[in-house]
Amino acid sequence: MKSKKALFVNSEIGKLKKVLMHRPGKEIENLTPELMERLLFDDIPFLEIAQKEHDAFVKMLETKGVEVLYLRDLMVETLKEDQLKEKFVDEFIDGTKLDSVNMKKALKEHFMAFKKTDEMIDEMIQGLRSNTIEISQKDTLSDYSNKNYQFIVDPMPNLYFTRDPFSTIGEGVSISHMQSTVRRRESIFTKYILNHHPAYKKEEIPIWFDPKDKFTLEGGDIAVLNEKVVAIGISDRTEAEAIDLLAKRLLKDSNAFETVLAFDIPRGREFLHLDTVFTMVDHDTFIIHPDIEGPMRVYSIQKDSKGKIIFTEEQMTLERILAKYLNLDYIELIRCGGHRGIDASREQWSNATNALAIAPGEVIVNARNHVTNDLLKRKGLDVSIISCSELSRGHGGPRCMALPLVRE
Amino acid sequence: MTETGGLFVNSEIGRLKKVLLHRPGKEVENLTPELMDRLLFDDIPYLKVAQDEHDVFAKTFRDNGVEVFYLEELAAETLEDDEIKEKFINQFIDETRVKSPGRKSALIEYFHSFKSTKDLVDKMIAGVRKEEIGAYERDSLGDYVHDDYSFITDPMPNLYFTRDPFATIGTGISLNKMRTVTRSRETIFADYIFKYHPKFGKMDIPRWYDRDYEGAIEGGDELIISDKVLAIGISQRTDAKAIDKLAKNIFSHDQSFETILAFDIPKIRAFMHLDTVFTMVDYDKFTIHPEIEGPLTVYSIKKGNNGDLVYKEETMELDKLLAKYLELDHVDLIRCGGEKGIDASREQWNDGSNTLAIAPGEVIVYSRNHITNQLLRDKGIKLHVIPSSELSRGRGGPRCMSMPLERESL
Repeated sequence: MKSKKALFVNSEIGKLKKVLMHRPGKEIENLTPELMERLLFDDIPFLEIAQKEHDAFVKMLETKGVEVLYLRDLMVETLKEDQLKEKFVDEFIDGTKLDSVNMKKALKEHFMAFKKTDEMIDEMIQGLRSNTIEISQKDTLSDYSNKNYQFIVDPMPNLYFTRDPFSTIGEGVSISHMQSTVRRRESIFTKYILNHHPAYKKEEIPIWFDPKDKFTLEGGDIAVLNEKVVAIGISDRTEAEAIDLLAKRLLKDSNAFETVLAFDIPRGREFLHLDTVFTMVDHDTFIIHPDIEGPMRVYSIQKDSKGKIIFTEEQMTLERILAKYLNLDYIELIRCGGHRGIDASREQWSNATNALAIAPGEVIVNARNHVTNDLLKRKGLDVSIISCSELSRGHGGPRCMALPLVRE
Repeated sequence: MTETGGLFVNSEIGRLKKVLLHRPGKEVENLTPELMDRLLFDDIPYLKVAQDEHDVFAKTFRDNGVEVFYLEELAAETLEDDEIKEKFINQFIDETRVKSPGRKSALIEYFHSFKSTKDLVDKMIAGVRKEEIGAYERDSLGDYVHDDYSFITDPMPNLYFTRDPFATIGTGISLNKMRTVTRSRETIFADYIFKYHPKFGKMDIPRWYDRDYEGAIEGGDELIISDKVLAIGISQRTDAKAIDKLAKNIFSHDQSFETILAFDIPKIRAFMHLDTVFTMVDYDKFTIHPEIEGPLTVYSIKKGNNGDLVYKEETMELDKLLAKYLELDHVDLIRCGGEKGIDASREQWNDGSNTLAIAPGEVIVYSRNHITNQLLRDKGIKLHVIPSSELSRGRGGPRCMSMPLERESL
């Protein structure tokens, strides 16, 4: 199943070849107790250790033969021409919540004055504290107000969860329409890379979903189960209507995918995305949070012989549904924490169900979820463990932090 | 303890000789997302790393000549006496939500089944999961209603903050009344240790406050800034009326303290105790969170005639006020994060102003607060830096995690 395509992912578990990541930077140190909630953090990571943990994660991937690309490097390579850079800066500033025309102008000058693009990108990601730019000309109320807020441009601390702003599905991509305003700017980076980066722009990449689509959808809800089936979570972050749009395009225009399974998962901060409660780790094995098994409904979306999209509410148990669509006799569901209860709740919260498969039966997991990790080992999985005392404070595990670009 | 016997702490900074800690245990693994809020955590620590970090903390004390006591060991030694043990088990259960006779007797039986008192204490702290006690007769509505709750008795994950349940002040203790139901059981341990422990029980240690008093007060609000002056926070966790009571008791005994400065701080989660925004690090140096300087009001309380208290609202700036009461020309306030703003908010949140002095000008701090730590170094303070990735998730720093039992006089 080799492909020379720049983007190719037709499973959750095929040998991982190329992955997109972001090393957390100063944006993390711009979190404060007052801002945490809006910026979707429950606590403030210690940057120095978070970077060390992230570096160890990258090194582990590289040792396993995975090529790691950094979002920031791709952006620098993308923005080689001044004209494009200017366009990008304009779009980025539009993506902030600034009303003040004079401040926007000053901000543009500030960004364009960077000689080195990497420094400009870093500045955009880390945010601008309110004392960094003064405007002399004040013509509107918004030039004056906003005094008490700590930032001109908010930091982007969620960026190290590269899983969410876009997803590779087959040879195409879904560019996310992020649910929260604070994360919307993340997709601008993605869009520029896909449209303008030398390695990607010549490719004819099918776009299954676009931020211009009215409804929200995020990468953590998308799982490519095999070359024919994609699972998508209906969640706090992903709306059913968005899945309708994506499914229609995928089923009509890709020559491979035949089924989209929509998983209606319970809402709540601890169940952000499908991949926080359900991930695939081997041909026939999944990790699941036992609390969602009861309340979850599954709908299948397919195309009939006339090309009409049809919907079915599945009535079987989850094992049977998966076995049917994956064309297997038997599916093993490994419950995080072993079974419903204290360990399951605790370890799901700490991303036990957010494993990243780097090959069939081979996964990267967080050290802190020892009950689930022992279970995975007992089930014969090859388990690589990363430490995550600081990275886990953003509530994402190995899968959230890595976006596969190419899998075998 | 000391040659003279008993406890002795008459400053925040005198060379630390003996300290009480609790090594976090299984109680931390009994936190779940649903319980966190009620049990006062913002996130769930990873026990193994939390213990490693705590062991580094304990080693830092030992390397610097401080004798370390563990609460769980003192409690276990106290319960070696069977009569005390039985009394303790009954009182412990009385203070849980377990009320129905069936559940109660099952739990009593379970607690008595432990051969080692250390295992018993560890289990009481960890919390008892439903599946751990055998079947029992359901004889109340509570048994049915609570059937889907995971615990028979809640875990006590805040116990590693030994600063709060009691405070050594002079030669006595303030055995505190905790603000939250969740933490109120923590003080039973200190109560029994100081009444019945083979060594501590015989010291006849006076109490300036007791756990059955009405107003709440917690050790994180109680600072001994000199042998004459206490600073006590009126905070989210400490009531003004508790400070009155403590003041009356302490002034009526043969102690050196003459003044209590009551610091009225904002009552919010980020500033739960005075020591999360204000600690003493040297004779004339304090760390302070710049955001409390504005809203802070300080009242002085002194002993009047006939056991009355004399109050005064202090109007001087904080540094001048402290200089006056410490009889110094000048006091240095070191602002956490440097100045008001992002770094200050972030580092205060992570206990940048919760340092523990082990000698004048020598403090233990968390590694994560690198801006404040550098400022302290610049001011000539000697730092012992400890890791904090997991311990900090309970919102407490080195001062919160320790209770001095003995300090040298200055």
